[in-house]
Amino acid sequence: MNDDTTLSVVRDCLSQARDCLRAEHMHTPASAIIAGARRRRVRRGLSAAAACATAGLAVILALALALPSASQARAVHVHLAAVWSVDSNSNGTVTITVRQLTHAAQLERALAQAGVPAVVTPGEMCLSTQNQDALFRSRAMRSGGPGVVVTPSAIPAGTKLLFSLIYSQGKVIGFGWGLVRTGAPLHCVSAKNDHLYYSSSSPKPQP
Amino acid sequence: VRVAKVKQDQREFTEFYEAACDECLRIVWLSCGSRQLAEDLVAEAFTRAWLCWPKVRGLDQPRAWVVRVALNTHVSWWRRRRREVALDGHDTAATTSPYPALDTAVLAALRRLPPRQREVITLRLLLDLDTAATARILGLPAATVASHLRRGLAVLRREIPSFDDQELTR
Repeated sequence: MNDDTTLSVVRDCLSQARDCLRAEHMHTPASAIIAGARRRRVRRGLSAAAACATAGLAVILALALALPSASQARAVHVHLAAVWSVDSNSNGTVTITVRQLTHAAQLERALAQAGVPAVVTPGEMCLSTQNQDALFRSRAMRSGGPGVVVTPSAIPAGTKLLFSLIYSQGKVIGFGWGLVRTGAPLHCVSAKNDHLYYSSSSPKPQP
Repeated sequence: VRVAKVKQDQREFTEFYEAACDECLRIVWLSCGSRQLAEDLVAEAFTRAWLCWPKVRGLDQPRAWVVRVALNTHVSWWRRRRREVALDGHDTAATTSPYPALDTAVLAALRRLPPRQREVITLRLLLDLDTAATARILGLPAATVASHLRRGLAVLRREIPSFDDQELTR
């Protein structure tokens, strides 16, 4: 088969698939897009101004906040069968390996003892683009071998790590991490309602 | 004067959004395989379009710009979330799609292509752009676009043996 024939066959196939979606429409109105962009612009402006004005103060505060939390943490080596493990490292980081998201309370306790504030939601999906992005920006977590390595001092003050399940089409397909504000309500869904999670008609979860 | 200009920009953007959003949604859906994800990606792409509307408005193919941004955002999100851990065997769970035409081997193979090849095939075949327009949107030489297209089609041809049967019946 030459390139032209392949091109033609693929084009036909894709066009057919696209045509079968003719009844599908975006649910997000233009006004919501514009409002979202406006909020983002304001947020960026405020962030830039705040960053310039308080850079020095932020460094001092970060140091002041990091020292007490580091002193409260202690070396932890907890291995819960083949479910999960939490290990403190000599450089102050904590290695977490999670194979199943069970025994949530014990996991939260082990993490707290290791200096990692965390909230674990074993039965619900509470992850969102916002809280996953917040974790990515904080650089508090990186991949390390079979698990992840968390730097407790990089977790912003007033926030917690979020461990949550991931659903797709009513089934649990895995779990992931995010960063949420301490005390802020989580916006979670259970497996049977996961289609509502990203729906534009429902409120988006906030970090 | 400035308020009037902003209102006019909003009107133009709204017209563009209402005319283009559904097509962009369908194209991104085909490429990423999930309706919810496609809706989020397209909304994000249109948000960025509004943030730099004076630039996007002046493009030859603003829809192609939106689709390209949505596909790039998909790659970025995937990179950020790749530490997520998949449970064993979740692929075996049978999920019934309301659109069987979306479960074809061609689309599955398309979604496995490297991002650049997928972008080129999406813009060339789903948005019906020619090589020159695709090259402008992607900021690549036309020869590079042709090369990505050739490689992408070669992969699709290799992975979908039924193509040979289809050729015989054409």
